Amino acid sequence: MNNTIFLKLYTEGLLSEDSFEKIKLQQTNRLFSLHWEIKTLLYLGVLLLTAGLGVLVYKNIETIGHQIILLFIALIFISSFYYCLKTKLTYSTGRVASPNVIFDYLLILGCLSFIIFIGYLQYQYGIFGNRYGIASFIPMLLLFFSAYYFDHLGVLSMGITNLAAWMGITVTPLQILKANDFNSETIILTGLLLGILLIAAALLSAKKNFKKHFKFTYINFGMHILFISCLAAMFHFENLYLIFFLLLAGISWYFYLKAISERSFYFILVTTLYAYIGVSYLFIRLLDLIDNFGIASLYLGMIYFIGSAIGLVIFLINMNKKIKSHDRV
Amino acid sequence: MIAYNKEWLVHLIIRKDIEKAFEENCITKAEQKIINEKYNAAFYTPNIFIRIGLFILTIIVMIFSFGLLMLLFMDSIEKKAGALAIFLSIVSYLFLEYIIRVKKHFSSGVDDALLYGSVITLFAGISLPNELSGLVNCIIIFVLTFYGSVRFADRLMAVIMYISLLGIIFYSGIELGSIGKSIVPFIIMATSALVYFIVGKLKSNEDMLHYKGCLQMILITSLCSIYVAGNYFVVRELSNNMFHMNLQPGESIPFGWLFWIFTVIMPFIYLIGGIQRKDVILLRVGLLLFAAMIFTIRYYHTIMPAELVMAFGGIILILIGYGLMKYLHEPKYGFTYLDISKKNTLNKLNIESLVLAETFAPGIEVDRTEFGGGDFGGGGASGEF
Repeated sequence: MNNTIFLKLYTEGLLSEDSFEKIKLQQTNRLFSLHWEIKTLLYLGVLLLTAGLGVLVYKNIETIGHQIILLFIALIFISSFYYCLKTKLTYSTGRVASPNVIFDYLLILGCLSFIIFIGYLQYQYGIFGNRYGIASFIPMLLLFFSAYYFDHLGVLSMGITNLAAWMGITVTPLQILKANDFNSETIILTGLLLGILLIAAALLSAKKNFKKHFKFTYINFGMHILFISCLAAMFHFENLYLIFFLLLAGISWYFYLKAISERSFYFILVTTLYAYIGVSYLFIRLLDLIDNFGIASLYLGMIYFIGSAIGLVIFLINMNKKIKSHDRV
Repeated sequence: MIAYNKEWLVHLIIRKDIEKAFEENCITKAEQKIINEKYNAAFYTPNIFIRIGLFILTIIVMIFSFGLLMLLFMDSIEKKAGALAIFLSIVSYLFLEYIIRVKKHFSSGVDDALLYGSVITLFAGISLPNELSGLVNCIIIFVLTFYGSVRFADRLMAVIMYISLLGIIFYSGIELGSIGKSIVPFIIMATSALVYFIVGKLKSNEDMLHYKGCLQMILITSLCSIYVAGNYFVVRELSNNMFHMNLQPGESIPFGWLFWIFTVIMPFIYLIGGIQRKDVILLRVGLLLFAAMIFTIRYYHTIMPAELVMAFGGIILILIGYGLMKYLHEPKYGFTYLDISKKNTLNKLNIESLVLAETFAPGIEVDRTEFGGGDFGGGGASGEF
């Protein structure tokens, strides 16, 4: 902040004596916050520790050391959960603030070390036999339970990615396109199902007023999975692409209305871009149909992309105005 | 000089400070309203997500316009591609000036995309057909981004301008022969330090008000480049590759010890300086370079297996974090562990929880018979070691 600015506003009579004094006091007493630095340290610490332990426990399987490591992991998750149980604020179905930064990361550490522990038990002793589903089902339960019980959005996101993994797909933001084979029909259909499931979960949390603030996390994952699976279905099912296009149009319309009612610029952007990919695909199919990708269709294609992108620029500018004017502030 | 309405730019700064003062409960809503009315800024600046959308769409328009141009001149495309790129650049630039002057765009996504697009196509149009040397390329980039920074006060332009300046020094240095090659790291370090101090002084200059963001970015980059130029890994591997020194593993470069000292000491100097002067830039760059230092040491000296280092390092970091939090439970020496800025647009997206979900990806998957250990707690992390 710039002191000369406030001085100028004060001399212009735009700031009262009282406010100016408050600002000056605030400036001199300004604290230097190490919040994000501490958070980053804790985050990196948990990341390194769990990654290191995950490797250690498998590398030392034949030695005596591995039981010590196992004991150590057990100790970590027991003490982490103990700390979280001790310091957590009273549970409620609404939002519960986290007592402090370390609570957030110890909870994650506890969950992750528990998952490593379970994974190792399955690997070494096969406690769940050949039912690998259970080996990922139990960590998922733990994550969802902890997310609700301790009110932690990060753990909830981890729970959702675990749910997806249990169903057989990867939904972590950077991996979603890389790690999944969207040419597989099972994956496409699972994706559609998971997307609908997550959006239903979001609507239920809001309607039942049960951890209402989890709604956005559910919708965010659900929306992307649904759109991507729907587009994948369009590209994959050669003969049914029109049906899936209609589905895409329906989903886009749903999120468009949602974006307007919630005044969310983010939903508008995401919906517009996914719908644009779908429409463009349809247009390219059309060009193929008329001209079989000859020179004329090349020209038409270029003109289509220039024209449609300009059209969308105008659309987004208008949407910005529309949502802004709804802004109650 | 600057393309945007200067008066409005000043008003934006005032509005931002007032907004912050309001959030901190220093001024009343009525005062904020009056000040905002007096210091109006009628720029077209949409919401950040709309800006991202407009940016992507403008890039699409530019790419396909270039495609269309290429199609029109398909017969002699090899000769004309450069000229077409320059033509597209000029058209984009004129359009950029138009939307800023007439449509009052400011950080709208459209102006960002047109600026970057026009600089990239102009550079490609000049450089690619002529196969220019590294030095000439750096000079061209410097001139273009210098203009972009001065005219549009764009932060990315400023950073690239600074890096291309270092590129010019680097390429002219190595053309001086063997002496030049061996002193290039020191010249770059000295230049970076000089830039850091000059820019630091300029930042508080009233005439530089509009370029504060640019100068800030150059400041951060110069702090990094001081370190990178003297980092043992960078100097060794770069001289090995570029000057064909054919070093065997275990062999060191001339004055290797000097670079080692520098590699280890600099992060501490930054961290201490950051804490003493309460300089958030120094502190954060220092933390980053501390990690770089660890990676550099581990690259040449494998004392412990990676997983042990990770586990112990993790425990140490958690303990430091925990200790700091306990220590700063009551604010001490003007430091606090609490988050003082309440508003953060990115928080609306729960970026933090997405990062968590990304890096702590599930380790157990359904159809896997072998549970690869490295995947626990994020395979991405273990891959970095």
